[in-house]
Amino acid sequence: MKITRRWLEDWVHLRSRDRVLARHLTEGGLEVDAIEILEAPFSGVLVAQIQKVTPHPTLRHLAVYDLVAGTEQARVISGAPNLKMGMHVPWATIGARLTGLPAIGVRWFDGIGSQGMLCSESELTLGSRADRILELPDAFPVGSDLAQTLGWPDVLYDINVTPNRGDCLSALGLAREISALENEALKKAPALWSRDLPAGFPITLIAHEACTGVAILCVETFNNDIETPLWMKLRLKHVGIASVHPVVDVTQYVMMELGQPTHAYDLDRLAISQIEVRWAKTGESCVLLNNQEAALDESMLVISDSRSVIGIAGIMGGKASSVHSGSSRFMIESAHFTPSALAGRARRLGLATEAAARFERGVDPQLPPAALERIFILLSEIYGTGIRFLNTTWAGSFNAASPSILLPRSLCSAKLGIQMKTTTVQKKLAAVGCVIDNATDFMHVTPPSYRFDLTAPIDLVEEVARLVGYENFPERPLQGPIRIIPAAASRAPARQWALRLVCRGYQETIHMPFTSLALDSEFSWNEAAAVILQNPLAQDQSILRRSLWPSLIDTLRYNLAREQKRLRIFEIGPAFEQTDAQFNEKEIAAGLWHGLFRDEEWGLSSRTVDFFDVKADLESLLEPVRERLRFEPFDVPMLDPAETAVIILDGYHLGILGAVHPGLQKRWEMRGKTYLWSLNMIDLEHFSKVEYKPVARFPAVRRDFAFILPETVPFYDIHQALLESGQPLLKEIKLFDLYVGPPLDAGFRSLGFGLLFRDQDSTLTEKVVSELCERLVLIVEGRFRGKLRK
Amino acid sequence: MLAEGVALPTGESYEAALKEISQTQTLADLDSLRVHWLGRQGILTSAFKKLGELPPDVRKAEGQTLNDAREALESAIASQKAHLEAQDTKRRLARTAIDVTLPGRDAEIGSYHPLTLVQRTIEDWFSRLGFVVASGPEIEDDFHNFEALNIGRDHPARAMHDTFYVSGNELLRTHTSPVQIRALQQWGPPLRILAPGRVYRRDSDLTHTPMFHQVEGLVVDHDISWAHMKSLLSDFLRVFFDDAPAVRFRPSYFPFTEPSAEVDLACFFCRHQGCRICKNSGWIEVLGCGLVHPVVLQTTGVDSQQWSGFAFGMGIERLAMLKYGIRDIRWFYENDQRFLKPSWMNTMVNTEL
Repeated sequence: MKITRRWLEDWVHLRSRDRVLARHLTEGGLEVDAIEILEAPFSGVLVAQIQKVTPHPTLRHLAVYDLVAGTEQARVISGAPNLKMGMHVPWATIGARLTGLPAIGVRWFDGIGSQGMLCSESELTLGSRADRILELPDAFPVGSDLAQTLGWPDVLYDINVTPNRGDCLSALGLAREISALENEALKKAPALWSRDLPAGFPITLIAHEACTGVAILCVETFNNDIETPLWMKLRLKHVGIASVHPVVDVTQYVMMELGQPTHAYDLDRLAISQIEVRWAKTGESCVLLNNQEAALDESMLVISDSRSVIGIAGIMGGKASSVHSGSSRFMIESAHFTPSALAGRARRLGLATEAAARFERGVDPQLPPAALERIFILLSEIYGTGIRFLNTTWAGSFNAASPSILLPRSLCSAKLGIQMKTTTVQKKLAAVGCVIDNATDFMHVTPPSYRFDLTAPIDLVEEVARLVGYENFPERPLQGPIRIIPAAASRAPARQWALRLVCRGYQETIHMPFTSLALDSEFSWNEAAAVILQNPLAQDQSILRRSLWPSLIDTLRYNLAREQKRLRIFEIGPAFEQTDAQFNEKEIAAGLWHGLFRDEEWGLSSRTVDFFDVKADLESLLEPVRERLRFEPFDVPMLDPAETAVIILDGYHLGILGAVHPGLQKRWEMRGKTYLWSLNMIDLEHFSKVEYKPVARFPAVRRDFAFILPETVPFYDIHQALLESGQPLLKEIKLFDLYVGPPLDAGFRSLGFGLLFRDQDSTLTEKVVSELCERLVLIVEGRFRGKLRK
Repeated sequence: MLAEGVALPTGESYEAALKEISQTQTLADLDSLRVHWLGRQGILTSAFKKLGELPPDVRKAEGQTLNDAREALESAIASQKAHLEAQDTKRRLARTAIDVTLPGRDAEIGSYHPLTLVQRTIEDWFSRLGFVVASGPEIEDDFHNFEALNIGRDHPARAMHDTFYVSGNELLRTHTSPVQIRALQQWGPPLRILAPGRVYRRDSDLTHTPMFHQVEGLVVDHDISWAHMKSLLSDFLRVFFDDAPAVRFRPSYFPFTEPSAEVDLACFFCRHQGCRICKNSGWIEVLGCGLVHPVVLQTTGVDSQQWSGFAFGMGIERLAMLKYGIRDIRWFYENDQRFLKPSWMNTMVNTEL
């Protein structure tokens, strides 16, 4: 909401300078976003009167004008067609500055000097007309500075009005607020309707729950040359409203001044046997002022004449009935629409109008007649004898009063945590216009009709609080017993995993979950559908990710494009999917490793990362259940089938790890392998309880064996077979060597196992260990076609 | 006084010998001195052999004298030997000294995202005051995200929450406030909860990203007042920003709290003088708060006559930007590892479990 200082000063004396006033408003709940000093676009221009006109002796298209401006007299030369004796004109004196022109000096026209110049609207940047000198109203005092007379300099305040304070969307509303905050009485109250006009055509208020009252004023003007006065144009321009037509400008001006939106129709374009305020019928439509065709339904409140819809109530008028430069008869509608009748409707139509913004937040229900009175006065001033007020019609009522609120005496103190005197509470509420009637335990508080936001006791507490000033309230530490609530969603597992990953060298990343269906499909291995946004910001952000991998791949490519050659990143965050109409979100930990196993390092050789480096990361994350994990080959479209595994814990698929498929790798022009992993966040405590065991007192015996085995035999199978058969003495199996190559035949490899035996209760004898080892060797040779290497 | 009876060879004296021992530079020189005096053919050994030739009355005194001399020499040699050996070791070790300024090997360590650091700092601070960290779904329904928070279907405040919808009734939560509703429904009062998490708004420009992070807090108890809220939040801000800037509570409006406030910090970029970042006001807005609206309590089945409370919400990005001097919100989501990597380590202290 923009308003100028001078406009406010019409209503209340402003004691404070701009910065201080802004602070008072801000600390009272009306945040001042910006203060702008408004300077005239010209200086040195005086209001002058033409005293004498003589033709230029030699240049026939020019004339010589003798001017008077207060004590100054001068002679200027102009070729403008509209100048007459006695006319008030803007005179740019010697040294005057006009926007875009050099400083004004004496200019010679065939021997006669022009002391400065007379200006057009366009030269003063007050409008677009350049073909004639601007004619100033006779009311402008001759000799006065034009900039000052037009209200410069001024100050523009940009105020952020919260949605509950619709009453502050006007000069009057803000003046009331300043009056309360600065303890300064209003200069005047808005004038009430006081005209006696004949009744016009009938109005039917059908949707009376949505419109409590409507007043109509019809006028006829006789002079289409009349323009909106400059001062009004300027005030409107400062607050962001363009001048259109004097009648329309007046309605806009009154809205900015009093807060009541009104609308002017061209009376001759209406079919006026009847005006209705009603809900639209489905199928009706209306072409609006902005040329948009609005399809209407029963939730839209409209104004209609006996033929069709002429405007959407409180939002925007129709094109067909709009005022144009040739209009001479007008119908001005001033009505009260309830917030619930208008709320959200403009947004549904894709509109944001000043009128809708006010009605949605609420307008004083008693205001429409006062707005018409103000319109009446302004039109009379502008048109003088060139206007006739035809008739007026009212329907409904404008007397709706706010219900009174019972405010317990102790409520302010209890809510604010400070002993609040009754007299303070009364004083503050009275300052915002409330009428207070005292009872013993309660105050009966009746807010003024323009404070429709005050409906409950807590609303009054807030009024008192902000007027007393938030800085005046004490601080008191929280006390009282702390209730223990078993945290339903423990963050501990996520924190633990993140800590482990960071300590192992991973960088945490955070991504937005928006992605494209194409990229996401590339990386999804489950069958559930993706969650689709109904109103995405962009087409490539139209769904929610089903996997974290598209995010990680995006980040990899972003960094590769910026000379980063190695990346080891993770994210713990949500993935989304949809089954039938059910939306699911799961917390996932996922990672990516690309490039070297370790950064360049003196004294150590490096190599590119491989499957087992990444597997080790996951094994360390899942350390408590590591013995029970199974890694099985797995085939998913985006990963290389030769290097992909699914991770299984007790039959449950925990996640996947593998190398990006060479095809995708090539398509994205990424050099070198990239490994991806993804794990469902689980609380490992559900799978594994911490348990401590006594340390064995007897020494262990280690025996090493190397077997030549077909490459197709998985290590895990041999490991499990040995472990089972070696019970209870075999405690640990260590793979100490893996060899492929000559002299071994192709398709075979050598695995070196270190077996550790120990007995809980006695020292092992050579005989027992040897017998057990023989049995184990037989198992490997028999079951897996292995050959013991001698 | 020495050796009246057993004469030392010409030119030899104990004093000279002791001096010579203390001046030897090598173990070999020392050893040859030892042999010269104490060896099988040594001067002193020969002198002992001649003792027997002396008359008995002199022999005893002479023997004593020779013994003293031998002990003095032996001890001098031993100490010189230790000295030379120590010197030797030192010299040898000096030759094998490493360059301790070479970098340590394989010191790779990762880092947390700055938003995680800030979120955990907040969680930890409030947890110490008995707040339970709660969470809720990111795909919310209209009731929890809006209706229950006193934001009706056509409330003007909805325009400020540009919402992503995934169905007619379900949406990406626009704030963490719905967790308040869930917590009140699930546990009821008294309650102290903290709900951090991702939130979404359909807005993307220089200062807005369509996803960002918030922390919501809620306290409901008997006799909770504005004074408790003011104290808690002022304390938090003073601790979070270690240079304890001035804090201002300013009236504002949220449909689910009343009275409501926005909390400003004195702008630390311009020292409260007014600058581009604080829009010349000298203040920077960091959080919103207020007493829980009675309608919200009633909607969740809490008796607003008996219980009262306050709620607050803050943007984690904003706090991180202010705390760490990050100038552009989009940096958080570019995930450029050169941005993520440096200097967050010193705050890792806060991020253990």
